[in-house]
Amino acid sequence: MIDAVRVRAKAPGSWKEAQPEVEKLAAEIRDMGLEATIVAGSAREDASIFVPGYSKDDAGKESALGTVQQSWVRQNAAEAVTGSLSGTNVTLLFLTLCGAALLTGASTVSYIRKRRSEAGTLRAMGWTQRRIRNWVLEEFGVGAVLLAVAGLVLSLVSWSLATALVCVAVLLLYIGAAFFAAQQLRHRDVIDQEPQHDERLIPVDSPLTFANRQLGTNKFNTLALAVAVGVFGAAVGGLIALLIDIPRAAGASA
Amino acid sequence: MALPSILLALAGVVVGLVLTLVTGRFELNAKRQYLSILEAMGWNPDMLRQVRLFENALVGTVALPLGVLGALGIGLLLAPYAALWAGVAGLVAVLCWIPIATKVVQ
Repeated sequence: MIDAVRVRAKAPGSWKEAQPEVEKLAAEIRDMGLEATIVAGSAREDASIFVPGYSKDDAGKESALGTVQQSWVRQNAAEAVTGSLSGTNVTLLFLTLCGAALLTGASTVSYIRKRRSEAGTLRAMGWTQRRIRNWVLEEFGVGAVLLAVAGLVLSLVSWSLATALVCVAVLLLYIGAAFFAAQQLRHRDVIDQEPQHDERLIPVDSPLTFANRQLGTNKFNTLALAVAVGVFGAAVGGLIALLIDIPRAAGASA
Repeated sequence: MALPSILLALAGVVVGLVLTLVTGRFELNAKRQYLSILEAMGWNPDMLRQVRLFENALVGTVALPLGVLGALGIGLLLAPYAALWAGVAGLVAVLCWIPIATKVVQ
């Protein structure tokens, strides 16, 4: 009795290109009232199978064969790998976006520090707060237009909603940074104070104590640099995890 | 097939690297200024190198848990069985940054 027939479809190209043709053929077979299972894009996989009730002794007692190793086919492995890589891409996109957010924050702080004295000079020359604010926003506006064009081109080329959402998120982040910078460059009265005697100050007698004191004095810079180095380390770790994972992902579809 | 993922991961590393460069430049001029003051006060080049090394080492000490835990977390998300190697890579990256930053930022 024939209970299964293997049909080989001649469809050129990769699995992704051939998939619609193969599915069409399977649908035609199903229309004939038969069952059709697509095994293309599958992977061979060794499976351990326990076989019970294999033999009977003279007394009629059944005994198992035990566990046997057999080469089976995992169906739709190619589809599973494609899906897992899409998941990886989304995770990496999110992480890169977080890095970009930190980078925007750091650049904004750097920008504010550089432009504070210029803003003070312009204020002394009679510029209003509104004019200084417009000057900052116009400077950021150039970058925003470039970002919007790049995001639009990237979204159109990739034709993906995720890319478009990431581009919009980066643009919003940039606009937020622009308004924050404009706010920070507002004129404030600074009260110049003489340093008070501080019991916590340690005498500088070695490079180590000097380095420690410098870092303690500039806490924001120290913390920002530490976060940046930490992000760099985490990104390197992510890249290594991905590189280690490639042979497994490729092997699953081999 | 994995090329977009590799490109994205590389982009993450580049973003991290640029972030360290940008934040490292916050106080670069002030740093150069106080190092020249120390030099004028009679500190020898070896002591000045030690100041830079200790500064970076202290920053690296703060960054180490962040880098290792971040790498472990990302590793768990991307490939759980490679998470330990990701953590080790994060540790090595932060440790390598200390002497490199000491050499580069003078």
